Amino acid sequence: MTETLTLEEADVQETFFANGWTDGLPVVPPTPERVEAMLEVAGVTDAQILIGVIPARGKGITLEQAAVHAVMAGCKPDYFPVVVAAFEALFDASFNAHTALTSTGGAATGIVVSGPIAQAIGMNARHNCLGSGNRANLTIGRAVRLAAMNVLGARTGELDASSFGNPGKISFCFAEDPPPAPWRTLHEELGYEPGDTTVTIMPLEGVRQLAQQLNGDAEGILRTFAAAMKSPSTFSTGKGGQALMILGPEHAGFCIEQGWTQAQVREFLCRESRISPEELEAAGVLLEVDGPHGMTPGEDGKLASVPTPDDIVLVTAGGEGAGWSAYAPSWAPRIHARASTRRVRPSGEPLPDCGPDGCIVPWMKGTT
Amino acid sequence: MSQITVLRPVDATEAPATITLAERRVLPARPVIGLVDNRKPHARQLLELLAEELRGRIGGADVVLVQKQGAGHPLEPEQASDMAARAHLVITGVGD
Repeated sequence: MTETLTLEEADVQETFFANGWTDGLPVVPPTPERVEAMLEVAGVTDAQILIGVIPARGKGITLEQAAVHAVMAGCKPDYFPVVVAAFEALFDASFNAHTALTSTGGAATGIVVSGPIAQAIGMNARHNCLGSGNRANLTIGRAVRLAAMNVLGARTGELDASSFGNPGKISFCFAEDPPPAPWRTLHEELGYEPGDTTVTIMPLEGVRQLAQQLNGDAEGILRTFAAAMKSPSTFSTGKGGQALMILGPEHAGFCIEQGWTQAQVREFLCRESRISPEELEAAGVLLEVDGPHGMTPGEDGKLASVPTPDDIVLVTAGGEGAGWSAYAPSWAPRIHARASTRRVRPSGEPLPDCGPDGCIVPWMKGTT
Repeated sequence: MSQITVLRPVDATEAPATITLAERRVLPARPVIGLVDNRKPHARQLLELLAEELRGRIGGADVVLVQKQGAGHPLEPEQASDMAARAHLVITGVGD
């Protein structure tokens, strides 16, 4: 049971700031009543159950601790099942939270919510979905980072060694805008049922806005995006990382109208983002020798920026405009951390008993 | 002034005030120096330089080296056990 403390109401914010319990912004005081309201919506019967652990640190998060931080972040109780699913994904061994939350590279904890619950709780999938203005987007992502800081030790001056960090470390969370047919939602592409809602979590660098406003040819648009994915200054370029590719409505529309499937888009971006050692060296990037990232060119003489098409998380979101999409690379090659996905559990559905090492499952349902 | 009760958001367990160092043991005539390469750039070269310096000071030693999968992963339990069984002193903790 989490300890309580009693404070003068006027002193709460300054007490939390003074103890380093916030991300630099004011928080909602986590009263027992507010925390209980969170737990009730998720149908939690035992708040002390661990959602997961980071074995290398011997630290984990209970449902109660998750609820405390959801309150602090400003979540409505209806958001809490999504917060829990985000923590479940975070504790998947493939995400490697031990490193992804604290590396010098300063990864944001990117969260993509796909499915009807995103719409039901009012998440924003359209204009400014990566920016300000939507409570659910901002507070769900913030809850995860606040708990990582307070419970898992990912705090500046302690375990978080980010040289710069990035603004997404406060919150980087948005909803997918379901694409027009015949394209399918992200959660369907990952093997979940149409009625499911999933949370996909990725350790990401900052977002690049991708402009393509004159070219209506899908291949031309995708070539522009592939060029962004093979930027030599991105750490994982040529070393095999993952990528979050968010197609805006115009760009997704051109692809769909011109007959491209989502699998074809991923395959094209994977292939065209490969880069030659010469291109890296021309940009001053030295190739690793005997390093962990396997920088040996393939048969095409090139190195992978993303090793397989499935290493691209392709979603549709954003609002209509001049023609924008967005892209964020994983902060490091995939040997260090990968995307992981969990289904949002309906109220009352118990967490699986995964033992002390958390639940280790493939991030794409149905794969081994 | 009204009062409010809140849940404490951090683990209330106090960090230990002191840290107990591992026992310092007398080295055998030819000890084994263990090196843990965390795969950061140039970690291995730096560790091998340190080992060579130690060999000179000790008057001879054997060196064993293990590599982590990557800098972001802890040493595998089997690697740690093996190192503990074989080495008399271990050098690790190399960063960028």
